[in-house]
Amino acid sequence: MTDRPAAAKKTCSHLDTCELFPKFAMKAALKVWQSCYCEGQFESCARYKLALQGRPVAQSLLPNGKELAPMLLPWLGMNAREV
Amino acid sequence: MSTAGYWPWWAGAAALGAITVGFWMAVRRPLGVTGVLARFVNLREEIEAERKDAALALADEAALAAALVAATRESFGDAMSPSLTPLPMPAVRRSGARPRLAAHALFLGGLVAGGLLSRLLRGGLASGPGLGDAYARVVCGGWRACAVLIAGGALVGFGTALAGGCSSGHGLFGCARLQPGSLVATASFFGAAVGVSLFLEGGL
Amino acid sequence: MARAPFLRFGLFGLALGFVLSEAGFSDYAELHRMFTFQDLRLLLTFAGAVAVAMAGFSLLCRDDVLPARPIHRGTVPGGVLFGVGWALCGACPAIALVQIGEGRGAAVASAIGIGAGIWAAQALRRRWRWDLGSCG
Repeated sequence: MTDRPAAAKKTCSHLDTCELFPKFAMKAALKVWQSCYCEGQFESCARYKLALQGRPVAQSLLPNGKELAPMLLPWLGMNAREV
Repeated sequence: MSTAGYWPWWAGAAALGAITVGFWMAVRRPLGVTGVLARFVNLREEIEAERKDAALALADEAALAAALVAATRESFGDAMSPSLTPLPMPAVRRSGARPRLAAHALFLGGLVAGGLLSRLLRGGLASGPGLGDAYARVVCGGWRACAVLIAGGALVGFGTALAGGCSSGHGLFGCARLQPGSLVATASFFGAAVGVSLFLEGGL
Repeated sequence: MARAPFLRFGLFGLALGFVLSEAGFSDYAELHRMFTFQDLRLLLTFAGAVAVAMAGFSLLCRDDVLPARPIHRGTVPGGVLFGVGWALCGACPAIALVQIGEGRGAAVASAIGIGAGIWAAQALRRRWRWDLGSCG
């Protein structure tokens, strides 16, 4: 098993299973989410908070609680009613 | 072979071990039954989450990346790195996305079918609706057994959900990876089961 | 997953259920013999399975990042309650389903209990949150 480089401070314990985390590597511009939440204030991540309660976490839930699905509309050509 | 014709230990060991590893390699999910069952107990929320992800399933990588960048801009403003090149991610295989409820339903159905198949190949369903003479002798028989089964089942359900896994999730998968939580959980449930069984047998 | 591999889930469920039944895990008499150390066959099966899986993961999945299972506040109490229940009803969640497939009607009672127990634990976790180590 590969090891992540040791962090100076605590990172979110769910990094290995979070469905959204690897998606932040798609563009460097997305690193801000990692710095802000995953490697920073993960306790305020909406996904983390739901997981602590044992509730299912939708893939599309962003750490700040916003939904990603509506933002996909321009690229999918769907209207809001279908989402 | 034991008197009832059950598999010798090495055959069962090989098969269960292969299933544990094979499951991960095939679907990239940890083998486990409690978590799957729990999804159906919490069905409303699970369906809600799956509905939200339906749109995501339609998007390709490019659309997803574009949407994420747009969301980033909306949430953090323009004070962010203008670079849109991908970041290096170590090329490792992680666990995959949470499976569709239908897939998990098939998994649970498969477990039932597996029991049925075993019985059919041996010439017929289990004799009698109960758990056998041993259960009646050790625990209790008749209609009172129904209450004990429900109570025992409740302890199983509550305990596995609390511990975050059962004999397959912690016992097989977690222990094979030497995960501390699984080792402790397995020791706990095994010890408790032994204790209660010995007590029921009259040894304690 | 864009396309869920339904067939794989069904086949692995079938395989697991079949092996658990063939090995005797769904037979209370066999389980009881294991828990009272009268017969080590099932114990060896279980320990052997862990050893085989351990070898398999080391050889075939060396570069994989598998979900972690840290010790948390529910680990020991949950494990103990599970073990007590297992000795009383002869089923863990997987085995209850296998027993239903075998035609043991009593397993339906166990399964109902398991469902209720899971529901209660979920209600508990809504109020008292703690980290199980993953959100999957």
